[in-house]
Amino acid sequence: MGCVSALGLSVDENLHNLSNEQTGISYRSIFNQNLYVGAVEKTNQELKKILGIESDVILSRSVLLGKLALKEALSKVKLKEGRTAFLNGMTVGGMDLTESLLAHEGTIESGSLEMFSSHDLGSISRKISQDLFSFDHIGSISTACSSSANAILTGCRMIEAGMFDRVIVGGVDALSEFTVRGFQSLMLYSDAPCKPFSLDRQGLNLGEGAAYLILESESCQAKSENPVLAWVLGGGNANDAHHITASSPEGKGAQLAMSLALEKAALKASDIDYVNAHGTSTKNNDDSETAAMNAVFMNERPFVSSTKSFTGHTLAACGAIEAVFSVLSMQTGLLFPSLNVNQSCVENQQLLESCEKRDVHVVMSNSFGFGGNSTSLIFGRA
Amino acid sequence: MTKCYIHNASSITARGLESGFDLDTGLDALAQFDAIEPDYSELIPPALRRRMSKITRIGMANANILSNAVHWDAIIVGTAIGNISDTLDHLKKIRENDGGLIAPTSFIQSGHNTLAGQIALSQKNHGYNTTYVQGGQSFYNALIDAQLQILEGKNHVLVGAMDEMVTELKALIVRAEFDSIVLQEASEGASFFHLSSIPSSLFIRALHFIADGSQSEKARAKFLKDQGLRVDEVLYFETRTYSTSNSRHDITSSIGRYLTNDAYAMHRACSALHRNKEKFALVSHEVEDGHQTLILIENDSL
Repeated sequence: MGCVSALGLSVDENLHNLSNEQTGISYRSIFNQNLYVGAVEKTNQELKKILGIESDVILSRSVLLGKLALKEALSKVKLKEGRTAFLNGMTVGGMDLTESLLAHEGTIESGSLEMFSSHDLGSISRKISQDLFSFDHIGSISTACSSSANAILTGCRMIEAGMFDRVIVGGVDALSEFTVRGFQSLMLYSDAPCKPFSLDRQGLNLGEGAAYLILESESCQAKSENPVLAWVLGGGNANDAHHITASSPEGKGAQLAMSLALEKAALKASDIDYVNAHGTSTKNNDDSETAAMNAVFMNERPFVSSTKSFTGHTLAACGAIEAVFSVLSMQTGLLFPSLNVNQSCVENQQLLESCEKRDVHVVMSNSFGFGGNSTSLIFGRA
Repeated sequence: MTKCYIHNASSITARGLESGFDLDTGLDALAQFDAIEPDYSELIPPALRRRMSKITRIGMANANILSNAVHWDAIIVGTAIGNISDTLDHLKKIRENDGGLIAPTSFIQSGHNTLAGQIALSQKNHGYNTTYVQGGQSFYNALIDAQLQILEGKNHVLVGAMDEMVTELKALIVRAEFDSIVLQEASEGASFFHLSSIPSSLFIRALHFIADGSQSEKARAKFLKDQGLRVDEVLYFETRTYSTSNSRHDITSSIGRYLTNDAYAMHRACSALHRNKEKFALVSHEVEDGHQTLILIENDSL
């Protein structure tokens, strides 16, 4: 696994701050306004330096964040034999360059061609993998905030079908004025630090980051002898079909995604120890997700929290970042909380408001997006 | 292995609206390359249509044509550039309104998954739903997932691809100094398919990726040999985006250049197999970095 977020530039740095209940969200001046954001501390030039890339090379911040996370993931394994694919989730991709082109050069017609050439999301995936690994297949998925969760799900399906022996899955999104102003236009951006599942929450804070997980088939792993960190036990993809940006009150899509994931994993709701919720901290998402969890878990009381209170909402990357956190929970026996909760809006499940030491075997991770895209994944301890 | 049958297809391109497998046989070169939109009155409710950009309209119209009495188990869309006009509109609003609140409409519509979400929403479809965005391989990506869905036991899969052409993209084509034909034929379009596990005459025999496009002829011959086919028993449909070729199988000037024009080529291939009672057709598509993708269609009824 490799992970870059406002919590740090590696899995270990992320774990350190999660364990210490230290959020990565900070108040700063960005895009000509003062905002709470989950920004990765390094500038693009600093990221290039870390990656050994010449400072005058034009690359989207999404490429730099993606490369850093992919490099970390690759550094921990041996990838000798086997057909290997790369599946990457994104929403804005090289929007930062498109924005900067418009801001500094006026129009796309007169601007730098190189800067606009990163606008196409597929090019971001190709640039991330360039010089790091030669994949047999590259695919990119864009289903809003469930993009990287769908990359994980599809990677598993490809392996199950015998199409590839190994699939590196995840996603990336850099902060952009495009999304900040977009969520503000929808009145979903909070002026205060986000507080998922707190009754007085006012909206989300955006964040940025990237995470990749290396999935191998059992036979591929037997040959590679790479350490098994966790198992993907199941996953479900459904559509809420309620509204283009809002979730249904009962969270129909979320319910279906969670139920399909349980069915695929051949598990009961009572088998889930912890739910790493989508928990964006918007009024709509957290109410809808709570209703959906009530319907799926009924009288079972799994622990639940949203780590977006640490990272901000990293859009396409959140499914993969939270998959890494789910695996860390099982590895360390530590459950990470929802920060800033004044009064919980969660009724039936147990909302974690501080870190708890628990024996965790099975974790569910939810990701829901605009367009009704709802995906739920279930991970099991190795 | 479960075969992935092709039950129906619908396209809206510079050739206009074409549905089914009985397309006009003539594939003459086009004079203009903007998509010719149909009369939408029977295809998309007016209230819904008003908020849609061209790319969403042409995708939605195709989807609705194919959705008559079908309940989709999966909706899978491929698009290279996505909803570029709403994206540019949102960026323009940001620039024009420094710091103020802006209308959310173009941001909402700008997502790459807008069409797949809108199809699900309008049909109250809660099934599998995803969108692939891998440049010239976007449709190919979507087809791989569609094949997996059929393999996993799903019965009805809606899969397609679309891309639109806007003036800003044309300006970039000029500046990128491609051959003048690339600008002249810059185009747009959407093609969708009803794929199913339920037998019909046409099915997707195989998908294949060629890493080294400079050796494409050799690689294609090897692929066909591996499939147990002779090169002379196959109909060929070649599409390009950036380059030119002298191949007599190249249909680019008849369908226009856009990154997902292989979806339309697949529609043409299906029609040709159906009308001419031929057995095999191969769509080969030029994608980024000199790669090529292949789609092999077989006619089961012969």
